[in-house]
Amino acid sequence: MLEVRDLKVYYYTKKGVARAVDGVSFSLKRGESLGIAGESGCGKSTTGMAIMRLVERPGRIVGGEVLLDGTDVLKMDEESFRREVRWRRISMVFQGAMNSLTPVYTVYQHFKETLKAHGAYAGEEEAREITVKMLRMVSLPPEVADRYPHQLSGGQKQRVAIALALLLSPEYVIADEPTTALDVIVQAQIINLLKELQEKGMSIILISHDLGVISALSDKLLIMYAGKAVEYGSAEKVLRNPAHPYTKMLLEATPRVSGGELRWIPGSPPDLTNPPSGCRFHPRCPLAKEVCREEEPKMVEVENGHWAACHFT
Amino acid sequence: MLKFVVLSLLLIASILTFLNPPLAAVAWLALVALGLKKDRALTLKILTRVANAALVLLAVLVITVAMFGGTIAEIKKEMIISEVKRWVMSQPQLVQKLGPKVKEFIAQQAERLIKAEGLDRPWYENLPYYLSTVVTLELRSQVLRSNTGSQLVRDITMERLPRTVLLFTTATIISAVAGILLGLVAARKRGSFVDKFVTFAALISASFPMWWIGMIMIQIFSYGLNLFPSGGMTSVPPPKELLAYLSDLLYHMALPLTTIVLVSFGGWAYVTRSILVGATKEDYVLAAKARGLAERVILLRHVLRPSLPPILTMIALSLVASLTGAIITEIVFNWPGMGLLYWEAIETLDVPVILGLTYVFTLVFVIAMLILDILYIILDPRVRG
Repeated sequence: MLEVRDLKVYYYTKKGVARAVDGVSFSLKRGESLGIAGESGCGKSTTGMAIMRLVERPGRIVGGEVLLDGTDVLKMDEESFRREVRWRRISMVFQGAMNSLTPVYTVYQHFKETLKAHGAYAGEEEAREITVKMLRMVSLPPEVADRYPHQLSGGQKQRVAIALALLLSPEYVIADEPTTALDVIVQAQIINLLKELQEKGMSIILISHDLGVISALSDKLLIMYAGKAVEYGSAEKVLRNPAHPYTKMLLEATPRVSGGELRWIPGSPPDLTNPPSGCRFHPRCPLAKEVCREEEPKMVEVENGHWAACHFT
Repeated sequence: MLKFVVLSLLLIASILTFLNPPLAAVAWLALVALGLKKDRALTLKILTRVANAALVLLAVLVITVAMFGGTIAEIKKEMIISEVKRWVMSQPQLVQKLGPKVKEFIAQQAERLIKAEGLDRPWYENLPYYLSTVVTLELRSQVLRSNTGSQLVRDITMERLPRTVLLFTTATIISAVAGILLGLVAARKRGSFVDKFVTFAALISASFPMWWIGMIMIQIFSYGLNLFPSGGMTSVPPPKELLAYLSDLLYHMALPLTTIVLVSFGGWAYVTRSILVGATKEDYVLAAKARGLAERVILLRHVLRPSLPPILTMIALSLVASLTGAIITEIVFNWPGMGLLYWEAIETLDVPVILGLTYVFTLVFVIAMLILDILYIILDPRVRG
């Protein structure tokens, strides 16, 4: 069970404090998958980084808990978190994972050093065997092991990044925009690959701005806007019956194969160092009234297992 | 296995080049043949670089020889005439003996010397002679001599080179090691007090001219406090005993060495810091951290290792530059190295010495670039293609 409670990540910049993630909560049972959606800069990626404890200065996790089977991993000391949790229990496929391989090492060397870092290295022969096995899992031929990153295509690098994420059989994998910057065919292949892993019982936290990709993969859905969670619940309920105007608009802005008019959301996300008062979405919201400007809406349960933060639900 | 064979062949061929040129030629040819058979693209790449290097050398030599035609040749002729005049006039008996024919005699003597130095011909006619002698450094100087009295440019250069190496190469190694370590510390603690201090000190250090700091050092430590000698390499006369000689040398080296290190370590620290800070921001460094690698491993394998090519380039180029010494600094400290030799050659318009030095400097530079090219191929898989 992975539980995130009231997570807050602030960036202390010269312009002021940017509240990139401001009180986000969700929970995920083993085997369940969660999709986090929202526009660029809404704090989705930062949430993922915070769970891995990879937020770098000037950012800092200023509050909240990340409970992994009841233990708050944010309170662990860096060294034991690195050894026991990072990559071993929660791993990650990065946004632009194509650049996550170091250019001077072969694919095999990446696997080997990761095994070594977690005390799972038992000789050259075994490490090679494991590497080839992992590569096969993501449909890559064994020769890839001895290639350098620049000798691989974007899709191949993405597969290697996924294979690396699966190396230590973690319980949770955070996939941050795993298909962005890939062509459509490779995108579909990667989505199918993630689906297969999910069927094998792996929990995936999929971060994307593409609701289409997310709806194909997630059991639960978290919609974020300007650092806040605006809607959260089972994917089916949220998609069928969106309660927050932002979710509705986001859905209308997602292209569909069946056609239909494509809408966009006027305006752009606010400056996080100086967010709007009350509901952060009110300047762009068609339903906004006086109360939205004055009072911040709380998360309320609109139906069983479906929450939204809007005054008009 | 193949790598080992190629590398050892390379080494043997390089050594033979100095000991036995004909045998070396055979070794080089064998190496090229082996390379062409095993990895055609790479061998051709290296051969192209070698050809480029040779072309650069040739161009530099032609330009230098050409520069000695025209105005400089005229100045040189005037110098020779006045020299001969002074020599004749300083011998009253000779002047008396010649009587009215003295002007004619001077003109004759000057003419002979001008012919001997090839000054009566255009520069391109002198080119073949210079080129053929410069490559083997068989050139004979016109004015300068080595301490042993030799006029061979090779002897003169080889006498000066060790002295410059002793001072400048040592100083370069010290500043490189100190600067790189400081840069490393600063980059690791980016934004901290240590980082700000190193950056500040580095900028101060790098912005003063070496010779100016040298003069200040002499003013303070030599004339002011009377702690160190103001110049020279050894006392006059130098101590006979080895141990005493070495300590005398170190005593004379102290001021110039400190000066060079003071003005150069800052640049090293600053550039190293910039390279490493840039390298730390790469996506793959974050990815390595995410994979749970220890911080030390990340620093060594994912930050330092990919940054090696630019750092090695700096090291190689600085070492090469250290061989040429520094003209003004050597004058300030009266250090009889390559820089001072260059100055003496320019002052006396000793064309063969200037030519020889230019050739040697260009040669070591070109060789360093070649070695760097090969190092890049070893260090960066992307260059291997």
